[in-house]
Amino acid sequence: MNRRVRLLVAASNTLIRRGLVSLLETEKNFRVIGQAEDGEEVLSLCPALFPDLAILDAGLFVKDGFQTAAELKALSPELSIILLLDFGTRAELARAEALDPAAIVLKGTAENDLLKAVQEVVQGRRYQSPDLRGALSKSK
Amino acid sequence: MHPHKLLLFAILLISSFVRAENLVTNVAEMARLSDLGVSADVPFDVEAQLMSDCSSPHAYAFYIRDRAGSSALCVSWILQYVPVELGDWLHLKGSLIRHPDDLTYAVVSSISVLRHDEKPQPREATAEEIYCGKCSAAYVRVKGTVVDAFRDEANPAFSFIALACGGETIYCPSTILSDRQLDSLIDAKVTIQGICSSYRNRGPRAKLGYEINIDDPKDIVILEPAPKDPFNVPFLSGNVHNVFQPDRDKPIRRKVRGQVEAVWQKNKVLVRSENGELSTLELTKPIPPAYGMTIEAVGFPETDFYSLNLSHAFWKRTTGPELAAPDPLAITPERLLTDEEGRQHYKVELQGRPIRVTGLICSLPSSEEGDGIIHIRNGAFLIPVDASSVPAVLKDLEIGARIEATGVCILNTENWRPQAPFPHVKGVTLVLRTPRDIRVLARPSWWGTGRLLIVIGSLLAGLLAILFWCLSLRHLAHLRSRQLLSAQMAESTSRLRTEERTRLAVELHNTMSQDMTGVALEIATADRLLTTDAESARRHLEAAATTLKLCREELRHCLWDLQNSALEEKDITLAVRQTLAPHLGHARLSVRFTLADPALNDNIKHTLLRILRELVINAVCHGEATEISIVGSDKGDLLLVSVKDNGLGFEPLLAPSLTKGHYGLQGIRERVKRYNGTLEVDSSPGHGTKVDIALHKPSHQEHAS
Repeated sequence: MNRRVRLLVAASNTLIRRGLVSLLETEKNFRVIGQAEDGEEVLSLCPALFPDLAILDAGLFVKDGFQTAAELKALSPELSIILLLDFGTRAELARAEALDPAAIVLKGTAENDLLKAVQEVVQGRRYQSPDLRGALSKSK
Repeated sequence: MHPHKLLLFAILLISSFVRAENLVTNVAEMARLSDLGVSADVPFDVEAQLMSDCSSPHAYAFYIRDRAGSSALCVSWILQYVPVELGDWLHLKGSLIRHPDDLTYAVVSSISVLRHDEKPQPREATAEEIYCGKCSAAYVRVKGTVVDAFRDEANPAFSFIALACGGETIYCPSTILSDRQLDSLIDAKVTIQGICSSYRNRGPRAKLGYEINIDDPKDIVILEPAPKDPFNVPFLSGNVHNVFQPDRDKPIRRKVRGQVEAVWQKNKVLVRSENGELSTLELTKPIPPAYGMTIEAVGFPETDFYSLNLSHAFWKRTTGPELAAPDPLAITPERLLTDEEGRQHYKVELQGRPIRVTGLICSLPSSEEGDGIIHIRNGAFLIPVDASSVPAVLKDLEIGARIEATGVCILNTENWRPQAPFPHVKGVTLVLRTPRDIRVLARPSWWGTGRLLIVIGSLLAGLLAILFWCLSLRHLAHLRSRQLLSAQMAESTSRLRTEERTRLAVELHNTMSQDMTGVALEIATADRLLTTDAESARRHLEAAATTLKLCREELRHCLWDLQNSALEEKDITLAVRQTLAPHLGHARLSVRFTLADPALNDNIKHTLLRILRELVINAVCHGEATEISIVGSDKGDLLLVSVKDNGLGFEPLLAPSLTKGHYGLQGIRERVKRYNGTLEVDSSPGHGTKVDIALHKPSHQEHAS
């Protein structure tokens, strides 16, 4: 498994997107092949770039992360999706789990576990931020 | 003797002479001065015989007579304390005093009885002599027939005997006769002796003429007693126009015999004699005969010029042929009271005739004890119906009933005045005779005034109750609405607070939280690269530091916004000016918004203000612009804003990149994108900058997240 993992990063906030890309590129195995600013862009880039994994911010503009993920699944079912959640509220988590993504990562702890999540997904496992449960219990 | 004493004696002697000159010592002078009147008090000192005591409860007065035969009237308050008898000779002292009523009285202040003597014989006098004043204050005797003897109703201490005497009537007052004696004297022929006086101070019944004061029952001597049978008097005859002249030789009373036609006012009786003549009796006692009875009645004849009547009458039942009363005449009140031309015209010929009228009862006597007068109305005419002799009919009657009344027509004549040639007729009364004389034609409708008043009263009460109810309802509604309003206000305040909190949370999430995540990611990257690629790690740390600086800037704006009221400003132009004012420096700003729907959602307003602030800061700090103009409008759900400046301008493609810490335009683009909008930048170095922004206004339900 020497092939580098091809990643698509989608986040509307430039600083986040840049940060995500920087972090992911510190791993030699990962290669960010595309960046998208909004949901529409993701949907237009994916068929052209054939990424292995799409990392979607839930708060994408134009079409949000959930809708984009749903449409993406319909478009290319074999594509693994990692959803970045803002708060990890019960409603947000429920929406996320309904889509059955490969991993769900809390944005607030992404610097710690995003790389691990990507690696887990690459190895065919599922991943959820350990803080998600904690965040959930704190929210209503 | 001392000369002074001599002088004093002389003065006293002279004054006593003067006094003695003024002193009245004979009765004739007293009587003369009394008649003439005095201007100052004049003393008297006389001896005289007490002839007559004519004291009243109000004054003690008496007549004296001296030896010369002169008489005078004296008054005295002390007479009651001195035991005197008529005929006593008295020594009297006192003064002739002018009274405030302008008459002069001989007021006695000292009485002493000298001796008793019989009164002298009076002299015979005729009525003529007396009325001429020839017998003033003289002791006289007159002869005549007693035509009336009665007690003064206004002063029952006195009684009067009316003595017919040669064509005149002389009144003789006395305080000593009983009612029985008075009755027995009527129609007797008598002589009466006494002092003939014109004493004018005996109250309302004093006649302005000469009277003979009777002091003693012995002063009346009956020459021929009254007939034993009072009904033994001549029948009433003559006609109404003959003024009745009393005859000294004949009894004064007259008699009628006939059938009772009507009885009214308890003491008035209409009698129809056998020859058809009608007379009205005025009874002395209110015990009238019944209708239809045949009676004999005796009384003093009088006339009202319509019939010969008897006053002070009394009656007894007798027998006689039953007379058929004429059939009642049905007549309308109009015909009864007016002539063809509508003038008032009482039909005098109907006096005493039975008539029949119909009408509505408009008044009933207050009780059976009342005058028994029913008023019936027929058209414009009001006719009194006297039911005093048949009070039983009143029970069945009620106001408003239509009745037919049959009764005797009686003219109401007024009292005769000496100035008038005859008594006037004042109206007509219908006198009922039997209970059958009233026939009820129609009962009054049940809808009477009383019931109407009750209905109106209850309606009014109901109205008042409704009014009160309405008022209390209004009061209640007012209270409720106030409660509701305060509840709504509390609710909307809390909703506003929630909205504001949400907006703040969204704002913090969209900016600070995202940026912080970016910083965290950069630091994590740096951390991973630290050992392998120190140069890259430093670059990432620099980027993290720049981003943190941006965050701090963002935080500053957030805090400023929290303290600023620009958002609360309804007018978008003012809100823009207020927001931009701190960043303008020396640049001039023109703002013009023409919005069809000026109500902007707080979120989009805030976004717009942040974008404009960012653009203005760029234009002023980096572009060194001096003129900035902002023009805004809306088109459907699009909010279009154009910002133009005269700054240095720049090449958009060469705009400072994010890595160099210039995040401005990128931040604006993100904000615009959040509203699904577009951003167009038109700038070139040296030609200023124009930025066109289009934002989609969210609908009311939507919230930008």
